[in-house]
Amino acid sequence: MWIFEQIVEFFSFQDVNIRYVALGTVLLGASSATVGCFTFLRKKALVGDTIAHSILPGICLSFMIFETKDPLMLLLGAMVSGWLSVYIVDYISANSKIKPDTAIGLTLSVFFGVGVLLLTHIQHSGNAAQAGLDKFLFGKAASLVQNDVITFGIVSVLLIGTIILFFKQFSLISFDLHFAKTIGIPVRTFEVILSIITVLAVAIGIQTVGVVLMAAMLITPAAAARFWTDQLKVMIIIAAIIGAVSGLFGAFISYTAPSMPTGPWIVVVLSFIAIFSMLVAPKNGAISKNRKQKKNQRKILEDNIIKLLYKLGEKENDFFKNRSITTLKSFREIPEKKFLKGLKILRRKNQVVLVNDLWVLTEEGKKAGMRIVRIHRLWELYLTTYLRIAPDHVHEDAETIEHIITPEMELKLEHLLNFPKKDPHNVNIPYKNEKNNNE
Amino acid sequence: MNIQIDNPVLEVHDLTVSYDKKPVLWDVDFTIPYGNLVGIIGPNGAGKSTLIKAIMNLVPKGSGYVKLYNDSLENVRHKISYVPQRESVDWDFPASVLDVVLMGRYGKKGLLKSLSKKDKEIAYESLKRVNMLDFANRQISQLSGGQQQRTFLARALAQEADLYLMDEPFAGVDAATERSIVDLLLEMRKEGKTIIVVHHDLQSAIDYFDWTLLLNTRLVASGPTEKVFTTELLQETYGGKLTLLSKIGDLMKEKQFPARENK
Repeated sequence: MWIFEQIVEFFSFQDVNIRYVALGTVLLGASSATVGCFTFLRKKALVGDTIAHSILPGICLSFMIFETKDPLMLLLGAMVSGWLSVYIVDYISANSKIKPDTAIGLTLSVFFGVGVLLLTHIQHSGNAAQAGLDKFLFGKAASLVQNDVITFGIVSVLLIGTIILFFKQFSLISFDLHFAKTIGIPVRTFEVILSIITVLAVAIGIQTVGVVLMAAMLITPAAAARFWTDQLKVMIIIAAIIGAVSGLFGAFISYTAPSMPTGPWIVVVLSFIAIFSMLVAPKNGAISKNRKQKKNQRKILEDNIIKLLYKLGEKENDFFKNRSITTLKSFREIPEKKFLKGLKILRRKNQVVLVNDLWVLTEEGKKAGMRIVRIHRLWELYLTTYLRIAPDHVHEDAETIEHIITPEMELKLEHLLNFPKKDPHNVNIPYKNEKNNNE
Repeated sequence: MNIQIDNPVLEVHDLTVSYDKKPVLWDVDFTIPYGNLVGIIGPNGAGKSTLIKAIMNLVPKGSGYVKLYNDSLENVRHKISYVPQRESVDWDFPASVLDVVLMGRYGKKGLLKSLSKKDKEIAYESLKRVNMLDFANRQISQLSGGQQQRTFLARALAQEADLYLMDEPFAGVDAATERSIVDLLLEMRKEGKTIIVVHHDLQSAIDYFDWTLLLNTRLVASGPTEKVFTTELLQETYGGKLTLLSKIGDLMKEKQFPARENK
């Protein structure tokens, strides 16, 4: 298998070049994701995009001036134009009627337009050293040479170090800027530091990911990580791992398919992780929400059936009578299939038994049914007493609430109403320990 | 009526604050005595929040100065605690209640020191005082409005300040929470703290505050609550803006005119 060999060859890291590129992309992915967490939390995602696009003219200009592809020189140009774009966005939003989103749109397109113009000019100038500059648009991880990797690696470590060093300050200004100011944190300074490291994080990624998609490296890991945790530190660590994994994958793709641009592949992997997180994450994910819904539906079904059996017993004064599914169905509109499913669950819980195709309540089941009925009637009384709702309006509400009330709430309700004997419709409220009195 | 006192905890002198050149506070000038529970009262848009933001240096001043403990804010920061409006932050931020309260300790600790066991004890103690101890590890996104407010108050308590400036601490909390917050403020006053509260409910103001500022873009009155709460002064405060004053404000915005000649 060709692909298998490729995987082994790449991930054994035997080749020195592979080792360099892999290390470079991992560091890059982790550091941009780390920095991006604060960009994300400060709701500056689009500023990240502006920086990424605005770096292009800076790179081109510094190439034209210094005529070298030395990463330090290119980084310098990238820093200048990236930083300038941030400044311009801030200046326009602060000093004109133009709102931030428009300021971002304006700045981004002007810078990127000029960048593409310069890039085209360079490519047509016939400069021998220009080969490879076009990789800056969509990225090519495999084009990283040792010199690049060393430079970008050092910058990555610096970025992560800065975040660790100023973690408190950064989290404070991200959460509550005004408060941070009042306790004497030089807010403006730290905002500038954050901008600088954001520009740097973007700048070191352009060769691997390209300017067009670099913003995704900042924002997507943070957005995905947010689904998995409510703790800032954990969120940053998860984001860094996601960034590193997708960076490594990008490097792998770039090796196995040299004609492919790396950036789009990295973004595909990132987006896949983000969508996966959105669906599967334990607390906030769509799947867990769906599971909760299903669980609720099942609980409602169970409760309704056991309640029906209890109420029939109450009416006919015989709790343990055999009843056929047809009889039961005539009292409550539930499709037969669903009815049987509910009964089977109850049988597993030992609340009903099946005797000769007829269903019988057990002692356990009677208790469960009684509890639902009791809660239903207590809740009705609570509504008429405390919310002054008319007795003929409370049934619907109680039909839902009876399924969700916990034993603690039940106890509170009983004490609050002082163990009432009758509900608002003058029907007995059944209690466990009064079994003998009722019968 | 504007009762000026000697040796005030807070002196605001001729303060003018403008947004986009339009003054929202005109020549506000008052003094606040030590150890009082002070209410800043006025209708919507009167500049109440702007006033305490200007005191905390969060918005630029067009003119005038503020003295706290007869000193500039920079020198007495550690003695002062600011409680922003609850809505001013995003409560979806990944943090627990304890994390937020511990932020109150950062000011005292300086920038690079890590928090000690004592800081944590103070944070827990503060949570206890606002009745939120059980919520210490709760995610802030799961809090109700009243709980958010109490978290902010706990953070302020953890600052161990002497002067507290609170922006609408009663906004959007239920009656029971309001009562418990008032009790806490009274307790703090008993400990000798000065508490300045932006408040919009006239009814309760008379019961809560020792000293009251009536504000409606200009200062209408400053003094002991029982002296300030006269029908005449209240009518002046709530009777709308002064027509000429707001017209001039609009004109200044239109012409982009500075609040002072040399600014």
